Amino acid sequence: MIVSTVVLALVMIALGYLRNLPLLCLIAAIGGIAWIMLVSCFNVATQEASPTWVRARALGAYLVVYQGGTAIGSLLWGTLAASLGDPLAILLAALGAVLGLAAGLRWHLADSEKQDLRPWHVTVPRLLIEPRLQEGPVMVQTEYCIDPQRAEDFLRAMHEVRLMRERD
Amino acid sequence: MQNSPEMQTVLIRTFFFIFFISGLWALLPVIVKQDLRLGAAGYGLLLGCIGVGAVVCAAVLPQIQRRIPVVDPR
Repeated sequence: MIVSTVVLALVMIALGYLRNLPLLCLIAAIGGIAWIMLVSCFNVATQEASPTWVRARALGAYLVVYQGGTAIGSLLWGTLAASLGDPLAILLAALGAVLGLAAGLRWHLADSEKQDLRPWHVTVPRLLIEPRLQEGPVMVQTEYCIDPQRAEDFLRAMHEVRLMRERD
Repeated sequence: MQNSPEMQTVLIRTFFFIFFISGLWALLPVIVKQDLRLGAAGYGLLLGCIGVGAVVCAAVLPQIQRRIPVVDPR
């Protein structure tokens, strides 16, 4: 990811400053390689960060960010190119992309193959009433049998469970 | 969404990526026209080269990814 981003940034700088068309064609092809690696990386990361039952929603949010980011970015880089000139604008965009990697320090794309987001069932839920398809909303209650001695630990753990339960 | 930190991470990283890299797609036509002084054919040629690189890479990506970790190194 770091390598591909740096390569793509170098390609952008080359496109801004080199004027040799055959050379630029070769560089553009290298840029295409870096580009597809990065895009597929983000696609996979989105799918792996979401469980199957909300994957479509997650991909929707991803596409909004992706296309929205393109729109906002293009507006900025176009405006900058108009005032600073194209080579400087694309140089700034390339430098920004490399500096943007620093976001990985705070927001680390984890190796999400390690997290298992599949639904987990101990027992099949016992239905008190069988709701019809149009009926709702429904309330689902989960009862936990815990050791009273460890109630404190349980409460602490439940704060994390709450976060997970409130995912939508 | 606000309760899934993993998803937020992916979206934030995607934004940081696409916001800056969009400069490539936004400025490529302008560079071709104003700086390289080429027309539609020149733009098509460069865009096509990017596409060729992407297609070739997509074909060999499974082999590459077995050797290079896709995500950030720890």
